[in-house]
Amino acid sequence: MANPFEPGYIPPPPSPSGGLTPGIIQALAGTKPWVRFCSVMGFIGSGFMVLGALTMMAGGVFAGASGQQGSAVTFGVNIGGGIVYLLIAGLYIIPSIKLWKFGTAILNLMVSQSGVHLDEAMELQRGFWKFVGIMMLIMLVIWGIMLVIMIGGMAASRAAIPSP
Amino acid sequence: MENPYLTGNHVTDTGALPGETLGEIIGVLARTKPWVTLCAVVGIVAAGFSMIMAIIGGFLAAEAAGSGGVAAIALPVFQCFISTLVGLTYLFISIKLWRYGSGISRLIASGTPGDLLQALDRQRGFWKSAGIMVILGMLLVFLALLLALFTTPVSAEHMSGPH
Repeated sequence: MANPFEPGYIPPPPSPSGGLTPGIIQALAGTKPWVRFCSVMGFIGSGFMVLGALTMMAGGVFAGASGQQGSAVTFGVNIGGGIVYLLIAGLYIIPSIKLWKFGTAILNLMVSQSGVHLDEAMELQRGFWKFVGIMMLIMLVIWGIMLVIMIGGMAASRAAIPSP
Repeated sequence: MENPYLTGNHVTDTGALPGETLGEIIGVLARTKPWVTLCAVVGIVAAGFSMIMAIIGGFLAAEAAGSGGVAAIALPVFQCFISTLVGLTYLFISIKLWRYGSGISRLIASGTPGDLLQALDRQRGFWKSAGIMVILGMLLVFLALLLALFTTPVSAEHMSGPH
C-alpha cells in the first residue's frame, strides 16, 4: 500500500459499486426471526411425520404378526406407507436445515456487519430456493404422471363396461 | 483524510460498508430469481386448483342441500371452506414471493443499493407473511381439534338416543 504521508499521495477513488448500507442489514435482521420460526416449524413437522411413520410401521408389524386374514396386506401397506412418510419427512428436513443456516448467516452478518456474511446469507438463501424449486418441479411431474394414470384408468374402466 | 489502514469491517461516515462489491450480491440474487419465480408461479397455480376444489364443493353442497339434511351438506361445505382458505393463503404468499422476484429484477436492472434494500425488504415481507400463515394454520388446527373433542361425545350421546 502506498504511504499516504508522502507528498503527492493520491488516495484511491471510491468504489463505484457504492457499497452496502446498514439498512440492508436491518432488513435481513427483520427477516431472521421469521426464517428461524419457519425452520423450527419445519423441524417439528418433520418430527411428527417421523413419529407417524414409525407408528404406522409398528402397526403393520403387529398386524403381520397377528396372522389374521389380510394381515399380510395390512403389513405391506403400513410398511410401504411408513417408508413414504419417512422419505417425505426427509424432504421437509432439508429445506428446514437450509433455512436455519440462512438464519445463522443473518445472525453472523448482524454481529460482523461484514459483506462476506451478507454474501454467505444470500448464497444460503439461493440454495434454499433452488432446493424448493427442484422439489416443486419433481412434484409437478409426479402429479402429471398420476393425472395421466387416473385419466387412463377412468377411460379403461369406461371402455370395459359393456354397452347395453 | 480517510485512514487507509482501517480493516474492511468498519462503517464509514456515509454508513456504507466497504470491502464488498454490490455486484457479487446482485449475481447471487440473479441466480436466486428463477427459483423464486418458479415457486411463486406454482403457488399461484396451486391456489387456482384450490379455488376450483372450493367451487366443486360448493356445487356438491348445493346439490346435497336439495336432497339430504344438514349432515349431507356438512362435508361439502367444510371442503369448500377449507379449499377457499387454502387457496387464498397460497395466493397471498405467492404474490409476496412474486413481488420479491420483481424486486430482484429491478435490482439486476439498476444495480443500486436502494433496490437491493427494497428486494430484501420484500423478502422480509414474504417470510413474515409465511410465518403468520403458519401461526394461523396452527391455531385453526388447534380449534378444529377442540371442536372435534367437544362435539364427538355430544354426537355420540345424540346417536345412542334416550336410555
